[in-house]
Amino acid sequence: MSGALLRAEGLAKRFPLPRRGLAARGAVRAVEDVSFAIAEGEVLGLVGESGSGKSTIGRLVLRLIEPSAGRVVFEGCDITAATARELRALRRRMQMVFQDPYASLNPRRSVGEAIAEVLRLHGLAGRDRGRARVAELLAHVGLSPEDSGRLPRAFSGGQRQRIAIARALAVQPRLLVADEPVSALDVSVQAGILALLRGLRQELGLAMLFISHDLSVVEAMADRVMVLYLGRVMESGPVRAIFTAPAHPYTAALLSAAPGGAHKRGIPPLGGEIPSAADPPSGCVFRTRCPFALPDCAGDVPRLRAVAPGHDKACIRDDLVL
Amino acid sequence: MSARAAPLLAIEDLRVTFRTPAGDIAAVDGLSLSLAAGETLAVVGESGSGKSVTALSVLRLFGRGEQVETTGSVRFAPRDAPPTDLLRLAEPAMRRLRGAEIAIIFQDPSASLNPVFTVGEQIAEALRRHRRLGRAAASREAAAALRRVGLADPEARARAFPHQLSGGMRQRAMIAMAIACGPRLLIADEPTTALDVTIQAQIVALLKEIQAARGMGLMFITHDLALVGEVADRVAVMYAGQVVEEGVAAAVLAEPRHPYTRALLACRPARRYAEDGEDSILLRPIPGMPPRRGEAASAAGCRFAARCGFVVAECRAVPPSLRRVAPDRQARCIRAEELA
Repeated sequence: MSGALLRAEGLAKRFPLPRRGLAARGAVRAVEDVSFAIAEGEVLGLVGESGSGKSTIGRLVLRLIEPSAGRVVFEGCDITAATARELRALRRRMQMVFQDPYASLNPRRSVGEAIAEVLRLHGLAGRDRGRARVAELLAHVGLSPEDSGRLPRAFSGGQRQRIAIARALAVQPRLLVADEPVSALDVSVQAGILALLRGLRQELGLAMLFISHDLSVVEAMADRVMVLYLGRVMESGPVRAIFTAPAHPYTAALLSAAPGGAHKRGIPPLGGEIPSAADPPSGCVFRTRCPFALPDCAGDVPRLRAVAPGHDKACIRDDLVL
Repeated sequence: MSARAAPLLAIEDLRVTFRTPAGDIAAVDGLSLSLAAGETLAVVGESGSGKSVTALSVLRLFGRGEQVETTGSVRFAPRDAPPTDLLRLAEPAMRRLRGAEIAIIFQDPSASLNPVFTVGEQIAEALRRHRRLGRAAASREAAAALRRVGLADPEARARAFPHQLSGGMRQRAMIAMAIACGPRLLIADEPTTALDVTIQAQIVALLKEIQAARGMGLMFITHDLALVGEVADRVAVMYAGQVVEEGVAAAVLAEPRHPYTRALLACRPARRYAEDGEDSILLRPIPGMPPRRGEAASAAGCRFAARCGFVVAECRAVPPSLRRVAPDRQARCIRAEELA
């Protein structure tokens, strides 16, 4: 663990709710007690449904939002305690790619300018060298250097995502946080972006925190996977273990619900909905939808326990065949 | 499913053209489809394929400001009347069919739910209009409709405004509204795309259950080929405004005869685990990008030729026609037999 590129320890994020009358001010518990590590060149996949906290974790890792508890250590440096100046240097080492590339590109600026701006901002290239570097970056993501003069609207969704990736790569990061990077794209285009990201990882040894609700996408991308539900880790382990030998009922339910999924399990479909994160169930947060819940599940929050080396689950039941 | 009953819906040579200042855009170009009562037809395609425009033209739901020309015929068999061509029906008669005999649900429930009325009021309103129920009877029926779609505490849900419900509950409320008048045909346009997978599974199960109970025809529009295998009896795959392959869903998924269907199935990421840890990752994008709406209509030959792995010179010269390539299977490809 000490050799990890990134370590998150006991991360929590609570968003305060507006005060209602005289009642105590409540909070949405978006993330509770989440710990993980990412090694150099490793891809950790985060899966979960809406409200699971996966995007919040992505933002906490880059300190785009402040944690309520816990800390993030990147290359030995505590990000959560970093000053604004230190943070700026750190952001050169970790970058983010979002679901909607259009929202992160200025519609009135050519893509070449958008990339050159990042280079200038971080003092990485002057005007002349900048142009050559922009061409190199565009080529790297499968676009042509001639594209640098065009505005974002001239590109398709997939091409815009390539531009966003080129811009993230401009600072030569060690870690990329990719938050649903292909969810807005047509399926015929998704695989190309995923192949690009896998290639970059191979070639540059880029580590990734890869966030997606799409299980087959995470299975293709990740070395290890963390399954989240209502802000807590349900299970984490090597990609193969999670997909072929899930140990937590929620993981098994997710695999079964995926249409056309290759890893369906014999678990009954989940009823009900994800409870409100402002008022999560006591004990195991999944128990209200779990087909195997026992009275004991309402007691303590189940600890993450090892079921195999590197494979943990937060479930008190060891008698389940999932 | 091969011996098919008289269709509930028969679309013949449908062409939908948007007149824009920049010129005409053929969003749907010569589409023919049919759907029997009790059957589920999935219409699959990427963005711009014309699948949603097809749904809107069946219900004639284009906005007043839109300059749309629709030709061909859309024959629908109402409950107690002979089949009629919806495209030639007078607007008041069309209005009587909408909601009562043909209903539609969308990806985004807020497109059909009015934010300033409670969910119950909206369902009751439809029941009073189409089934001429009194106020009290309509609101009782509205609560019953909400119960049928599996909403707990339906009386309380009926009093809720749309924004007070979760995404999954809103989708259930929209389904309740759509089926309240007992339509013979339900068109579902990406009804689960915005939902989480566990909720998607619930909504798909609900739609199938309602359909089985009522013998309703279901046209299920989706971009997700994986979902087709779970919901549909038949499937029509659309590309650039045309059907490129049509047949029994399970057979099309197992043995696609059109290169586009085949490529669409292959582009889902997959991982094959290896004992030595060197897993193989299958990522096979379709080269290029789907044409924007109407963009491919001017192409000389096959609209998929530019992205097709099986393309030959003839493909670029002559537009292929949709033809029978196997029993109960049509494909729009001159090389369909070779793909068997």
